[in-house]
Amino acid sequence: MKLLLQGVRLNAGIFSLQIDAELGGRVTGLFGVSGSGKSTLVEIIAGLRRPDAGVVKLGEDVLTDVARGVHRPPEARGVGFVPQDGALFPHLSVDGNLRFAERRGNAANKVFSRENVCKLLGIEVLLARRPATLSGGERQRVAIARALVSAPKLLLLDEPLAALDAERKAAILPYLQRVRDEFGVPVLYVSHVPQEMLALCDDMAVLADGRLLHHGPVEEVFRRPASPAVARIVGVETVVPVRVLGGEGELVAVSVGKTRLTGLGDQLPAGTADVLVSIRAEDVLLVNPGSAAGVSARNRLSCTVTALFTEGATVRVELDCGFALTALLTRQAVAELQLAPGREVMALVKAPSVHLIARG
Amino acid sequence: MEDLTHVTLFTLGVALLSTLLILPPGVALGWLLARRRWPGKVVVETLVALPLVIPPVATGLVLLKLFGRRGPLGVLVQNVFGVEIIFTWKAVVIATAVMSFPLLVRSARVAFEEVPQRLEGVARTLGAGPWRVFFSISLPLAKRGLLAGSVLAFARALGEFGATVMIAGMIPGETITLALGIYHEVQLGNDSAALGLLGVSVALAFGAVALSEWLLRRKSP
Repeated sequence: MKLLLQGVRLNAGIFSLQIDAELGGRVTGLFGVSGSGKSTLVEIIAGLRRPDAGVVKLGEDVLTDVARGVHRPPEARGVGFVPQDGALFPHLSVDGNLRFAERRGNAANKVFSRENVCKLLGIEVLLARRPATLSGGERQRVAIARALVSAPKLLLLDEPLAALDAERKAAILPYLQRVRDEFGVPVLYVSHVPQEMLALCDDMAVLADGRLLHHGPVEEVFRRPASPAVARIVGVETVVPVRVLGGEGELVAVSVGKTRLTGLGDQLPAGTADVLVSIRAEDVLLVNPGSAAGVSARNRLSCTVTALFTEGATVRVELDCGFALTALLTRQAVAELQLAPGREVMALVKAPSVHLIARG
Repeated sequence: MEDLTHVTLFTLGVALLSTLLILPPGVALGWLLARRRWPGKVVVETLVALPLVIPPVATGLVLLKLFGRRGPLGVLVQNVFGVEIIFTWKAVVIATAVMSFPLLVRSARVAFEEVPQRLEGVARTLGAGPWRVFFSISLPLAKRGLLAGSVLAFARALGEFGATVMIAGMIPGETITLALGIYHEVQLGNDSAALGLLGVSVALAFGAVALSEWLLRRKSP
């Protein structure tokens, strides 16, 4: 299913939105700081806001075509929308909320049946409760379930985890991954948290000041931001798939090809598949080979400089240490170490800077 | 005493009928003012608020001119239904309805404005059309405010005097309400009868306002 945004324009006071994009993939992340236009774009796709110009197409369905006067109402779009606060109807029970979304013609739809959706999101025990009595995490699960019951062709999740604390977030991520894998509904996932992007999304689009700056596979956007502006917003990170070897307590050993890394992760059993490691480029320290004795960093990697990119005051150093690693250094540091392609160096990374993210 | 009972029941009946009469248009207009932008909105807003700010007697005069034997609406009703309005109980209902309409519309508008628009938007994305959203989301969520507004309009109808006296006159047994009765009895020098009517008026008004406050303060469901 492809979501096509063609010349979508909206002017609202000093803020203007202008988007051309073709979003595909199972889960596409929409990344940007607050005020970047993420929510506005989501509302345009849901049909809750009319753009001043442009075309919005979902697959072959024309949802909006301003020039031809087409504006399909929200109820006829098949686009599910879960806002940050969940927006549960306070006067209805959880079950009432779900029934509201059930389409009469859809009763036969087995996949999106209430039973299926409730089981998947683990909310069967909440059915009789009122929204006011639910915890933040439960509320979000119910909101997502309600959107699914309406059998959407596209699911818009607008910062669904933003209102939750870290623990609740970690608890709800697996449910989102199940939604992604079990229902096959394409998801547009709005967030400004890199970890959520990495854990859920295949593709991501970076939005700033109402413009789309970069769109590509998640790993690529984090590793090679299209411009310094994108790098500032998302931060440069090395993102690579790893294999979990095992761990003691919080410390987990993983392997990337022949290279071993030690990182921090929550209970990842050995052999867990589909795990990513992410290392922020500014967390990578470079030293001359052989001078790493007596250093506290758990990860000491011998590598070769492959390329250097100067971006303002900083230099992005691309390294090969069995996998491609990116480091961010000041120009002074690069000069002192006499870094140039082909030069051998030692990269140091503290274990807490090696973030392990389970995608399965 | 028989008189007092009759006047009390008549007043309650008129107030109830006028409140029920203005409820559908009042709720609809309140919603339109809260949720839609349309040409002439400011004019309608002003017109609706007018009875609140001009002297009730002046409103009564306008109604008299409209519903009088030669007034445009009076002639229309006479021709279509063969019914005369002025100086009958129907005139009392019209006067109280017009006078309490602004209170209901204002309460309804505030009640709908307090319903989060986000909820209505999300309801649409879940497949509900505008009517279903209105009846199953907006209306239930605005319920308390609407009820409180209705009670307020009812209380206003109970006490209406100026407009009523202009188009309904003071015909004992026909158009005399509690408010008109108090004035009427005092004019005749029957102070004790006036005090009886006063007591009933105060009790009813007190009950209505207390009910309205209770409805507004009650914890949401």
